[in-house]
Formats: sequence, structure tokens, C-alpha cells
Amino acid sequence: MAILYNMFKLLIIGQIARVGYFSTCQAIFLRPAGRPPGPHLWRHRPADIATIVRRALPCVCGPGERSRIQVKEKILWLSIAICENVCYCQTNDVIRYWGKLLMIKQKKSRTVSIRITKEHESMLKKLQGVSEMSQTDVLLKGLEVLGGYVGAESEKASLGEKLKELERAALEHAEEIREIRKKEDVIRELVKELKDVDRIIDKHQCEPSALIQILLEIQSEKRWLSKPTLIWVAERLGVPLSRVMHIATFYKAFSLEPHGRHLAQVCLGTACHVRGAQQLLNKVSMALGIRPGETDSEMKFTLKTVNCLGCCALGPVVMIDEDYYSDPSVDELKQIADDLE
Amino acid sequence: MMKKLATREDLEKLRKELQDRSKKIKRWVAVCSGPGCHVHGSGEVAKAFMEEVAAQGLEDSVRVRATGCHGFCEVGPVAVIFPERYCYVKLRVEDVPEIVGKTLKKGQVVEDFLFMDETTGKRILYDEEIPYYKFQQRLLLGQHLQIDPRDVGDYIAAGGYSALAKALFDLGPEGVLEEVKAANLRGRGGGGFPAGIKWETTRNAPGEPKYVIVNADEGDPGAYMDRGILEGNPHSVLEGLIIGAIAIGSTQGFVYVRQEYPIAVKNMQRAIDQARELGLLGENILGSDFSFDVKIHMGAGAFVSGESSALMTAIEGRVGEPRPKYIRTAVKGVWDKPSNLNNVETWANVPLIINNGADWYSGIGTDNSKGTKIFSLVGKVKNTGLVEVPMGVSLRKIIFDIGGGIRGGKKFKAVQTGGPSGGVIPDSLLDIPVDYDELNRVGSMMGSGGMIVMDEDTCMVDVARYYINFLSDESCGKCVPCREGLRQALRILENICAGKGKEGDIELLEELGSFMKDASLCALGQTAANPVLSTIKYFRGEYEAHILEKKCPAKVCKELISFFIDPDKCKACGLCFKACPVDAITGGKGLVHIIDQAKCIRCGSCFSVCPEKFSAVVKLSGEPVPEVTPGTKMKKKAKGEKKCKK
Ligand SMILES: Cc1cc2nc3c(=O)[nH]c(=O)nc-3n(C[C@H](O)[C@H](O)[C@H](O)COP(=O)(O)O)c2cc1C
Ligand code: SF4
Ligand code: FES
Repeated sequence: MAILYNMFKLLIIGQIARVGYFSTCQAIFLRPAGRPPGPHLWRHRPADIATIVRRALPCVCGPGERSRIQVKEKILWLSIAICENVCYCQTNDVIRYWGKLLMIKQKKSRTVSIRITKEHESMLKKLQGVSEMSQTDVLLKGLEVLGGYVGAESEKASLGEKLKELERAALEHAEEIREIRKKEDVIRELVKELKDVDRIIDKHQCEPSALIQILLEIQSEKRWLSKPTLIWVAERLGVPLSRVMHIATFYKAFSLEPHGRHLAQVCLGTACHVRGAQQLLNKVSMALGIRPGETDSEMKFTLKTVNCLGCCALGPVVMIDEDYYSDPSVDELKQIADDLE
Repeated sequence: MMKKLATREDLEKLRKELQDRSKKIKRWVAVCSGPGCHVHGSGEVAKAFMEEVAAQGLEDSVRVRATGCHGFCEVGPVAVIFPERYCYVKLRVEDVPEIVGKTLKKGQVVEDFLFMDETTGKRILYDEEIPYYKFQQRLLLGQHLQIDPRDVGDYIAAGGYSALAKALFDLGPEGVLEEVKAANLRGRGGGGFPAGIKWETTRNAPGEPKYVIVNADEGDPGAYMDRGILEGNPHSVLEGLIIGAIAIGSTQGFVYVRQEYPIAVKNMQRAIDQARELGLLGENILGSDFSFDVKIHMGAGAFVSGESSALMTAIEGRVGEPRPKYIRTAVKGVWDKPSNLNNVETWANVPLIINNGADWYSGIGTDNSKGTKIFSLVGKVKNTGLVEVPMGVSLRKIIFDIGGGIRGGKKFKAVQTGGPSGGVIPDSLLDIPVDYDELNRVGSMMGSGGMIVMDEDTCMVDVARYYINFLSDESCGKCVPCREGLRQALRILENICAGKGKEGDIELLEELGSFMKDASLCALGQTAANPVLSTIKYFRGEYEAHILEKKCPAKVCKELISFFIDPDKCKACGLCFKACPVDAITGGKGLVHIIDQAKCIRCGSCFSVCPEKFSAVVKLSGEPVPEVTPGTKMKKKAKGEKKCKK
């Protein structure tokens, strides 16, 4: 029953997270043997999923069984079929496996049906809140539990093997989807970035004389100048890329590497220098755990030195984001850093 | 939304209205929100004032202004209460309700918040009687107290833009030019070139359109006067610029501000927008046939971009590097058109001259340097902040009477003026009057107004090394004398600081310096040697100590000093033991702590944590470190001495 509960939990988490768990679940159980895994089960409409399920089912449950699948929409039922101590679960408001869904006929099989009440629902919501897992994690977790279960308790080796194989395929599938998503994300990011750049360029009426101003605005918005950005700016303004690069490397304000979310600038101007700017720099470096010019691995802070912040009367000063601090101690600095997100 | 001013009369009417409206205000408080006070948290104090005034139901009779820099950054946040001019210093948010309840409501003074004169032990009521302010003549900075920089109404009520009207309708271009020339206003950004003559050159140069530009790049580290003005009174700069444009016949202006000053950029942009809305910028200003507009251009962090030809190249959207000036920028500047560049402070002086006349202006200052100059008095001086004095005041007066002398009872050593192009001035020359020519004569210069005071703990070789390092970083590298000369000079100086100096280094530096002066393209390279030459001139002995005795007399140069715990003074408190980042200190309860010199990285942590009453950690230079046997017991406290609590 504990397994049942786990499955239930995982399924529901997947459900409520409105994740691909359901559809990926199809992939676990229903991907036709011999067909390469792919995103073809993704993003299908519920009705299509039903068709796919129907088409795919024979390779799991043998011919003649397909008529047992009923598709109904918007029914909140969860059906879990247990066969040979292996749970076959389907759920959702879309598809139900009715009655004896005995794909592999065994004696000890039984079917459990649970109606989801309001209480269930709120409990499940809570569960999801606790788990805070991403879609893929929910999927993988589910597989882990399943796999472990199969390995430990299945009497029928072939079934275990089959499941293992399916699990492997599902993992590959998930990995592939992740890759595709990653690529998609990169492209989407790039498009978004260039759109932002476009907005800034348009604001300056595409004037080549506004080149420095445009780069400054991009820098302050994006915290760095990426290669595509520089190429794009050169392209749009009709100036040679070499000139854009000349500017981007000449001025201190520009960075060709991503900055952290927060910027700490230690003044090394004369007034601060004679009042111990170097010691302050050491302190900041110690508090943030990075050296001047570096960004920490979590992309939280970048530490830079500057020539004057215009607060010379209170030197030595460090500016963290928009705020100035006059000679703070290491502990104060740590506090400031911790308070920032 | 304000109504556009179509005529001069409209402006006067608006001014009258604004002044009448403010007559209802019984008291107002100017909370300084300049750079210094801002760091001390004046933002919260100003907010607290506004909330408290509202909470006590005083909105109708009291006004709170968050103003620009008052000058006395050291004791910030500062608030001055008008009309009495009570000056409260070092305010905290908790203090606000009492001030509102007593001073703003009833006019009573709260003694505790007044400035206390340390020498007499007396509290001082009014801001102008505080010694720091008493010896100043705050023609420009004084305006800040009356004005909320975000509100053009304040500026107009205080007489703003009357100079513009006068220039437009009474004086005309020639009249303005004559006035500025007669006032002998000299550039505040560096060289001190007479503004009137530069304006005339641009005016007479062939080519249209002509440009006028505000140089607010303020790259000189240690100087923040321009920031103070731009943040505190942007309209005064704008008004000066428009008047200059009238005289020169320009239709387009630029303000070149460094991006490190975001508040200045914001306030200036707001000022431009407000002026445009009021018809003080744009087509047919105040109904005349004069049209003019202004654009802000942000600098991206390069000292050399403050140089005139470099700045103009940057405005064109190219890299801000200097170019040869066979033809001056006043004749061929931005896009090869005549362009007149002046410093922020120069422009801010213009409305004063037009309003009060050249005679009045030239009554202030010395023969060849007229008016006042703002200095940023910083470094090891007791009272840091912005100081505005008439030209010709002695350095001693600025540093000792206004600045209150050196911090922590140390001895004065030198003052550095003119930024990286200037030099140091020693004790013996403190009585020279501060004007362009005198400062040049002693090997420094006025520069933009940075005044960095150094005490006996400052090493002059280190200062020279610092400046050369700065300059070699900032040199654009276009011409060899500057690029390579600075690199070599830096190497020599670094060697000297590291105790690897050789005899003959000083002479080599001097030779390099004179070569750079003659052969560099722009003023950065030409003046780059000044910090070295002037330190050699006045502090040759210090150089020699580094080179010959391998000793840093000020005990600054890391490689030449050692830290040592005096066994007679060590109280085994363990603070240094905890502070040392490399575990170079050994010791224990009741045992004298000892620094392992081989492990010590000379970070100075132990020196700074050792309690002042013990002062057991000392710096040694040029002498061997005494041996102390590990396990030495701590000296017992003398009879009668109280046990020191942890
Ligand atoms: C390397 C270098 C940096 C400079 N930086 C500044 C600056 O930051 N601000 C400024 O007003 N002038 C600066 N100047 C001086 C300008 O070239 C120019 O002389 C000045 O802006 C003219 O204005 P003025 O006549 O009102 O002084 C710099 C000059 C050099 C050579
Ligand atoms: S003197 Fe220095 S900063 Fe000036 S142009 Fe030459 S290399 Fe560049
Ligand atoms: S020198 Fe550090 S803020 Fe100006």
C-alpha cells in the first residue's frame, strides 16, 4: 500500500504541476517498441493522446485489448491497475483504463479506483507545494521508485526487464527533451536579447553617433555586452564591428563577460587611497570571496575597482549596487552581502 | 504641467507667483542630500522630515527640501532650518520628531544637534558661524540651500533665469561676451583659460552650427565639485550654458557627464526637460528669436575622455581619444564645427556674472584670478567636504582654518592639488595664495579643484607611484612618450617602493619627465610627470631613504616595513591572533604574542585591531626586527592600574 501511496503521490504531483508527467507516463508505458523515443508524445492535445495510447497499446497489452480503453473528458478519476505487483497507472480527466485492464493476464491482479475528493485535492496541493520539484524531476523520481520496486519485488524477470527498458527509454526521452528545451531556451533568450537591444537602438533613432550611449544602456540593462549583441549593434548602426569593439574595450564601464547580479565597486581614487583604500579592497575581497575583476560562481557578485565615486570626503568608500558605504568592516560587508538576494 | 513662458514678463510673473506662494511658508528646512550626507543616510532623514511634518499637520507652514551638497560632508547628514539658519549636524532619523516639534513648529533650538566647536567646547547656532563655513564665500554652493534641485520653481523663485532674460533682451550676444571678458572668468576645469576669449574664438570661427558643451566628466580622482553642482543646482549650469550659447551663436549644446554619477545625470535630465517645458529651451526662447537645445551624453569611464578633443570625439560616437590640435577645438571641434567646451563650474559662474555685473565679479579674487573656486577638501584633513573660497586665499587658511587641520593630531606633510596633472605642495609653501599662477609657479596647478591633504603617514614615493599607475592605466596609448614613458616611470617607482631602487633612479625619473612633457600629444602626457617631479622636488630625502637605506619613513611601502608586537606593551588580548589571515601570530593566555616574520604578509590587520590604549603593534622600517623568545610572559600590570575588561 505504501507503494500505491507513493505512486499516487507522484502521479498527482505530476498532474497538479500540470506537467508532462502524464504524457511522459505514456512514454514509459506506451512508446511502441522499436520506435525511437522522441517528443512525439509531447504537447499533444488530450484527444490525440488518446489516439496515441490506442495505437501504442497493442505492443504492451497485445492485440484485441484496445477496445478496453475509454476516453472521456473532464472526469476526475484516478485509476491504478496493479498487476503482478506492478502498478499500471493512468489518470487524468482524459483517459481511464476501465475495469480489468489486464494487459498481461496474471491471477493476482486487481484494480483500485480512487475518487478524488475535495480533501484529496487540497492534500495533493500541499504535497506539491512541499515537493517543489520540476517536471523532469518528478518524472525521474517516479521512475526511480518504480525501478526500485520492480528490481526488488518483481517475480517475473521479463516484466522487470521490460520495465527497465522502458525506463531507460524514458530517461533518454527526458534527456532529449531537456536538450531540445535547452536549445529552444537559448534561441528564445537570444531573440529576447536582440529585441531588447533593438528597442534601445530604436530609442536612439539608429544614430551611429549614439553608439556609446546605446552600449551604455545595454550594459546597464544586461550587465554585459555579449558577442551577438555587439555584432547586432554594429549591423544595425552600420558601423564596423571593429569600432564597436574598440569602444567596448576602451572604456571601463563595459564588460565583455557577464556580471553578477550585484556589483561592488571599491574606489581607489586618490582621496580614498591615502585613507586606506587598499585595506578596504582586501576586506571587500574577503567578505565576498572574490578578487577584483572576478565574479563569483553563483553570479551573485562582481567586484570591480574604480577611480573615483565622487564621495571623496568619506573615503575609503565602496559602492554596492546603488548604495555607498564608508569604510565598512568585514562583518558589515558580509551582512550587506547576505541581505542582498 | 507648467505653462510655457512666452515672454520675459511671463517669467517675472511666474517668479512673483512662486515667491508669493512661498510667503505662506513660515519655516523651511534644507536637508542636505549631497554625496557625503547621502552616504550618512540623509535620504532617510529627509523622508522622516516629510513624514513627520505631515504627521504633525504642518504641511501648510513648513517646507522640507532635500537639497544639494551644503559642503560640510564630514558632519552629515546636515539640515539647516530657515529663516533662522539653525544648523543641525549628524542627524539620525530618531532625531527628526523632536526637531519638527520644537524648531519647525515653535522656533526653539535643540542644543544637542548643533555643531560643537571642539576648540572652544561651545555649540554654534547658525551655519554661517561654524568655522568651516565662516571663512568661505559660498556664491555657488550657498545657492544649494535654497533650492530643491528637482524643482525648477525653487530656482526661479530664487532669481533663476533672470540672467538669461537679461542676456537675451538687455545685453545681446556682444554685451554678454563683453561682460564675461571683463569679468575675466577663467576656466575651472584645468588650464584656467579665459572663458571670454575662448567664446569669442568660437563665435568668430567659420562654420555652422556651433556647439557649446559642458564638461562634467570629472575624472580627477578625489574631486567631486562638479558632481556637487550638477546634483545640487543643475539649472545654474543650464542657464550658464544657454547664456554662453547666446554669446557664441550656438543652437545645440551637450552635457558630457560621466556615468558614474547617476544622480547627476538624472537631475540634469530633469532640469533640461523642465526648462524645455517652460520654453527656456527650444524654439524662440522667451519669445525671442533665439533657439537652442541641449542633449546629455554619458561618458563611459575614461579619464582621458575629459580632454577637450577626446571629449568631442566621444560625442561623435567614437572612442574618446585625443587628437592633434593643430586647429583648436574652439574652431574645429565636434564634427569639425566650432565647439566651445567649459567646465561645469565655469558655466555655473556665468549667471552670477550676468546678474551682478563684471565689476562686482572682478572685485572678488586676485589680479589674475577672479571669483571663487570650489575645492574638494579631502584626505587626512579633519573637516572634509566641498569648500568655496575667493581666489587668493592661502592654502593654510583652507586646510587649517576651514579644514580644522589634520585628523588624529598628526602632522601635516603636503597637499596635492590639480589631480594627476598637478603636484604636491609642502608645508613651507602653505602661505601662498591659491590662484592659477601661484600654483603653477610652485610646480602644481589649480586643476579642477581636488585638494588632497596628506599627513606624516603618507609616503610621497607611494603617492607618486599611485598617480603614475593611474595615468599609465588611463593613457590612451596613442603616442609613445606618454605610453612608454609612463610604463617605465611606473617600473622605476615600483622598484623603489619595493626596496629595489638604484642610485640614479631619481635622475632617470626627472629625465623621463621632461621628455614626456615635451613630446606628448595631449595634456595628459604633458603633465603626467608633475606628481613625480614635484614629490622629488620637495621630498627628495624620502626617495633617497627608500633607495639608499631601504627604508620607508612614512612606513607605508609594504616591502619595506615589518610589523612587530612590543613585548612590553602586549596584553595578550588575542585580538591580533584572531585577526591575522595567515596565522602568522603565535601566543596564548598570558603570553606575549609574536609575529612570525616569514609568514607575515604585511596586511596590517593586527595593527588595525590592536586596541589604541595598548598600541602594542608597531611598524618598523629600515631596522631589524627584535627577537622575542616564544613563551615570554606578559608584563604584569603596574600597581593601581585597573584590570582591563575584555
Ligand atoms: C586628461 C585630461 C582630462 C581632463 N578631464 C577634465 C574633466 O574631467 N573635467 C573638466 O572640466 N576638464 C577636464 N580637462 C580639461 C579639459 O580639457 C578642458 O580644458 C576644460 O574642460 C575646459 O573648460 P574650462 O576652460 O572651463 O576649464 C581634462 C584635460 C585633460 C588633458
Ligand atoms: S599624451 Fe597620452 S593620453 Fe594623450 S594622446 Fe598621447 S598617449 Fe594618449
Ligand atoms: S577618491 Fe574615492 S570617491 Fe573620490
